[in-house]
Amino acid sequence: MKKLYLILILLCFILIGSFLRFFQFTINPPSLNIDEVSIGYSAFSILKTGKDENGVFMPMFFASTGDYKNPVLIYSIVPSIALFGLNEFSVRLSTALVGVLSIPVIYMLVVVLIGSQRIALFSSLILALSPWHIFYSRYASDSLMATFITMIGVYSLLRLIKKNGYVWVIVSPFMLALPMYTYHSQRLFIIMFLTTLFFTNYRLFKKKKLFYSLVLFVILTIPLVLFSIVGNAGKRATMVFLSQDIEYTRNIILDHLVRGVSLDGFMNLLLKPLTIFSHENFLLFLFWLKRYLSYFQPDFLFFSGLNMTQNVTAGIGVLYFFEFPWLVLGLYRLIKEKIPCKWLIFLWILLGIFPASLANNQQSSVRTLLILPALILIIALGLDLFIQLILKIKQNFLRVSVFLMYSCFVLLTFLQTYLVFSIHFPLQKSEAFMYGTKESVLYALENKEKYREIVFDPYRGIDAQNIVNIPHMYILFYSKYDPLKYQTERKQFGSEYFSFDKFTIRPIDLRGDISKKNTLFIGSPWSLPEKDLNQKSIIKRIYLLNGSLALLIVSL
Amino acid sequence: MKKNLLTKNYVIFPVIFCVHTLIISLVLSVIYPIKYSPHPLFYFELVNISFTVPFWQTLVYSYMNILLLWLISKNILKGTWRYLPALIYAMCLWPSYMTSANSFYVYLTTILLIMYYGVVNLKNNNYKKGIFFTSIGMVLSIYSSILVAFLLIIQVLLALFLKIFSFKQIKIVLIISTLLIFPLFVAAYLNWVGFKNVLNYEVRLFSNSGELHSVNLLRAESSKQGMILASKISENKYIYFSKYLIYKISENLSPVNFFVPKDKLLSFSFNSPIYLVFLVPFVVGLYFSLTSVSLVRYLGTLSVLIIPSLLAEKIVDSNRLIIIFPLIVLIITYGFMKISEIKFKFLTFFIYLTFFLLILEIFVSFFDIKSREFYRYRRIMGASTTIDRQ
Repeated sequence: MKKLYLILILLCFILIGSFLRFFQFTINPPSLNIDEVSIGYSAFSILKTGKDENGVFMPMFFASTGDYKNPVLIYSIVPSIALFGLNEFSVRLSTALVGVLSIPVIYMLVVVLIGSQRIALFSSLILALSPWHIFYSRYASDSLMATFITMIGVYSLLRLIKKNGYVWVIVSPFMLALPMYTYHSQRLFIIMFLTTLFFTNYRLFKKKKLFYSLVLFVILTIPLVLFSIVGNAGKRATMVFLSQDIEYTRNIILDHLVRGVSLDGFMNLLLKPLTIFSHENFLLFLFWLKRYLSYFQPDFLFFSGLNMTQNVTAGIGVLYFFEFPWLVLGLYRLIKEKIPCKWLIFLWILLGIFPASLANNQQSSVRTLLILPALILIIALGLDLFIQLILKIKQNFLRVSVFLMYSCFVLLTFLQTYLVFSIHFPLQKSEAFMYGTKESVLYALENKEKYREIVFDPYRGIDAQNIVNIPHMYILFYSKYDPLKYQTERKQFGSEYFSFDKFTIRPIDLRGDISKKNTLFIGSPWSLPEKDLNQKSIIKRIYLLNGSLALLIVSL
Repeated sequence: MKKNLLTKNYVIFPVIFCVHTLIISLVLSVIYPIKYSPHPLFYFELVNISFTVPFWQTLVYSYMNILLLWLISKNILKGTWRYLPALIYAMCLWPSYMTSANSFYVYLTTILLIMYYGVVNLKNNNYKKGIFFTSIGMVLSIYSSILVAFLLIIQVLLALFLKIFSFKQIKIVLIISTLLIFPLFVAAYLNWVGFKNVLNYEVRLFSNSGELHSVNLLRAESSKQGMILASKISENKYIYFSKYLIYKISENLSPVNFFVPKDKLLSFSFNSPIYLVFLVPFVVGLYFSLTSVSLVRYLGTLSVLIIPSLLAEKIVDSNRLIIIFPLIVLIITYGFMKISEIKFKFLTFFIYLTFFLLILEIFVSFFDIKSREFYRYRRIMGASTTIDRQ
């Protein structure tokens, strides 16, 4: 009977989680972003030809637009594209599904970790309602998928340690290696996590099954290591490394301004050897430390971590603000009480932030998503203690008052979050999801025959022309361009120039382009200023959801 | 024993002062003549006398802070630990930057430390000394800054509410202080417009027009989508500004923010106000402080020192927040004390590691200041040599 209740409650959480992840997920986020169309078309290409759009057969890493995408999400999308065709629904389906499946998985993980079904239920409820998890479940996100597989990996590892079953000898290394092929952060995290576990519990690995499992894991990761060293997968790591950070280059490298320290006379002789400390690498270490610590700042955790609005105070953090006391209580409990595997939970968080802190973005919620299960567990522990504390209040009136007041606070936060998700985020961030590109591409495809050439400007932006788009991927995606034809046809490449079929992707320069007849130009008002255009030549204006003019379709 | 202690002081203090002088000289050699815009004292502003704290006095106050920290530590810490707060204060970049830029809040820190020195004496039943220093500190603080006047009112109320003091214990201090600030009341009454101007200039918590615009934007967006009621409930200006206030409080109290600040020192520096090495002892000290009921009371009362920064326009104002620095230094020292109590091999390793990292961080920071800081200043501030105190 008790088990039935448990299943019913969990089912209820899954239903709530499903609704929050699937409701209008094809139109909110408001458009497919650059990564989603690339992933979608790569999967479509694999489905039709077994090769990616660059003609590589079943690649381990997808060169895509030069960013070497991880394979798991792309391959996971193939079945949904086969079933439902190449569209928004198919591309986002697998992530949303994984988002929902994470709810029972965290339940299982927490039960194995600390052995409490109540805490496990709290964890699954918190995950079902987590704005961080919901946000990344609603669009194709390899980070979310990697987090899901990591949870299964840790679960299977714990099962292997505790139960020592034969199934886990194979499942565990497979599920721990798979996230490394799914998302970049997990590569570093899993290695560090397992290495720390190995050195702190080396006696465990004397068990034969665990040792075999470890060997299998090493074998499974060899292709990844080789590809990172010999192949091009390592290129991305260099591209996004901390030393490329704008704040670092501005404050440390200081461009051409200064190199070294100037000292005079005797001081020169005395201190010159010490000038080595002015070297950038020392400061890179301190800069990294600052970046690492910035993930513990309240603005990231509770106010604006998800970056869904333009204003910090109007935004939402990766956690709800009402979870703050639960987080504090959970931490207190984790430190004070004898909770099994508590060092594993700390380790998960401390090491989970490490990969993100090495990247060139400030407070990236996508790169740190992998710490969410551990954070949720701490919050669940805190919630449990919080309920106990409320129940301990002897005066009925006070107890009910505290409960009602906190409930109001929770409801108010939910209402705010709902408004941010449903209204403010699409309006304020539609440009980040390349809103308008689909509309412009559909117009171009409908009227393709009327023009000799269709020129897309890859640069756009409202405040400045600072966003780089990849319109050719949108063209391929929305035209369902035959992958075989695309792989084999002649394409022209150049500096800031790419052309196939009738389509050309290059910056528009009105001074030279104004004489080009029978050509369709699609670009932002920065490259096609209305004041310089004949009004009759403007065929269509495409606006962002907040009413700002995003793109112009022009025939000169 | 007494002779030994004296000898110790003779040795240790010149060393500590030398460290502080060295760092201030280094910062000055790079940033001179960059200064905060002059900050008139509250009373002098009311009586229309142009008086600001000159640079040489700020320098003296900075050394006085070290001495006062030692005097306070002597009463609350044991053994050689009592020298550590003064040493940490002397070697950290935060007070050195503020002193070099002639920050008014260095002076305020001195006055507040005088008051807290009196409070410590009061708690140790040293009434005469306690009453004298507490009253002097309190009165001078209120004469100097309206923000500190708010702060002290809240602190006194909290101290009474949390039973740190009984009313009887501080009755004389309150009477003396009230009598001595009477001229200030008169000055404020006679120059009511001046008083309001000072208040408006100092309290800028809600003067950020961008924040107000955000509320209106949210309301407009929600209304367009037909969510008028939901928006009225959850996006009204009261809720929004409460959220903004909580946001500011959390950012000002966040331990990370003392080490990785939102607001750069003097608005351009790249260096941490407090060496990052001290983060671990700070967290340990904070944790153990929070587990002791009596220490939580003190911590709660002293945490209102963030009020001046809270009332600033910036989210965190490192200039105004310097007055909380002595408290952070004491927490770091407490953390070191607690770590030293761990009977574990890890301790030796931790001490060596901390020492090594501290030396490394000091060298890296010094050479960074020497080689880059001026260029950062020039890029951000241009030709101006005055930093707006807001």
